[in-house]
Amino acid sequence: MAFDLEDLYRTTYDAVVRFLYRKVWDADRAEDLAQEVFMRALHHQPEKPRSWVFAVAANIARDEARSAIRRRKHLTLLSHEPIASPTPLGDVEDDLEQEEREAEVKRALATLTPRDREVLLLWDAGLSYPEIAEQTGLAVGAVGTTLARARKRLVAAHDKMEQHRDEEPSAAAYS
Amino acid sequence: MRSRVRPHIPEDELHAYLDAQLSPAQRAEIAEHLLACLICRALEGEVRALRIRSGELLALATPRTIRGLPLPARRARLQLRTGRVAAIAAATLVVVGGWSLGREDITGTGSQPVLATAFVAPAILARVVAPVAAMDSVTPAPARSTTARTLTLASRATVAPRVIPVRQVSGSLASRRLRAMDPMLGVAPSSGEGWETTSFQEARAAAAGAIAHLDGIPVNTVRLQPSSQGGRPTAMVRQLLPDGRAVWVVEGAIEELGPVYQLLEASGLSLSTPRRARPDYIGSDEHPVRTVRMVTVAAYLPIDSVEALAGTKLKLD
Repeated sequence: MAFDLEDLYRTTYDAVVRFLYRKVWDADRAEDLAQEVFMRALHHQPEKPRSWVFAVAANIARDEARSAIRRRKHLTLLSHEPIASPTPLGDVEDDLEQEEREAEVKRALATLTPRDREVLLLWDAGLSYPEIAEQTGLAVGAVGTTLARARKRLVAAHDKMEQHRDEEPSAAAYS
Repeated sequence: MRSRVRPHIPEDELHAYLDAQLSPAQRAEIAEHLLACLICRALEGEVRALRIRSGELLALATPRTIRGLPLPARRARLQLRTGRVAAIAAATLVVVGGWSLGREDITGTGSQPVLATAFVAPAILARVVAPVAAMDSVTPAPARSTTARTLTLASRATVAPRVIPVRQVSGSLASRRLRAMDPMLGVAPSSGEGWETTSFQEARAAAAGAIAHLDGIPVNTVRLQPSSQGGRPTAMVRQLLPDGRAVWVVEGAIEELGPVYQLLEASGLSLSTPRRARPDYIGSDEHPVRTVRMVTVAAYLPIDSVEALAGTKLKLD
């Protein structure tokens, strides 16, 4: 089958951005990285483009996380924070609430083991069990088990947070 | 019919099933099990809810715009989030409504259905007004023992049975999907199959004193279909258990039971293993022919309960 970048881009770009966003938590950065993924895809012309794209995205995100830590060190030295959230549109309150909800999901995701999180994000990105198995090195039969556990933990962790927030509203620390 | 005793479906398999990641054979096996097993059906409902909920949570962690393409408005997403409990409430009301409507449709009298609805509604409403409890049910504490969990599922399955659409695989009806809760709907006098409604006494008279039924349980409706061979009619008797749920007893000549069994299977009922009923003699007095008649008990109950009812309560006359 001939490699069709346009088709791949059309069908997976959004999913790749979402996948990366849930790893780097920065919309612009996620898009930059996604662009890079597709540049590499054009260069490599992979046989199984869909799985390939997410495998590369996962690698890039991992490298990104390492360099982010390095950058943060520099920033602390420079002692001034970059201005985040370039969203001029919309209610400030809505934005805050949305940010808070997203932060909750982020923290809930952080409670998962790396493997559970990876499987969950890959499933949400639209990969099938065999594709997920191939990428994570799990047996196909174990993907269902992992996914079941990941879903349960995500929802449980999130609900616990919400309960906590309802009990002591002031303690809803924004991480 | 279903004599093989199967273990309950493991949770991860239900995830794979709902994610459409199983082979057709595996799918068919699970679908069949779900038809017969209320406990697994309840668990399937929970897994379904868990899938939706985790998808919703992940959707919250999405960049607002990708390449300038607006994603669903944030406002809409927030409403989706806060409107969740309301949505559950609405969905549940539909279920309650459907249930009572279904039952009123069948009995026509209206006294029993109201009872049944009253019985179902508080339990479900309690879940709606206590979303925290509902969430807890989605993600049970790992400490809870299997037995307690099974009991919870069983009780939930009993008050709010989940109806699953069924694909009938027979001849011209190949891809027809039906959602009949009550097989009596399929053997209504209007069905064109020659079924008639009658009282238990009249039915007994018509069948020479032999109407199979469960002893000691009030009879609610009897439907008879005249035999094409001239023997006793095929009979379907609906009886009501003390909690308002129905049990159906079907008896007839083996040649004529095929369509009825199909109907019962399609309703998602558990069927007891068919056993011999009283034989019938047809033809002239000089050359009587002995027919084979079978009787089966059907109910929305676990298969072992149905077998137990058939084993202990069944009376053939």
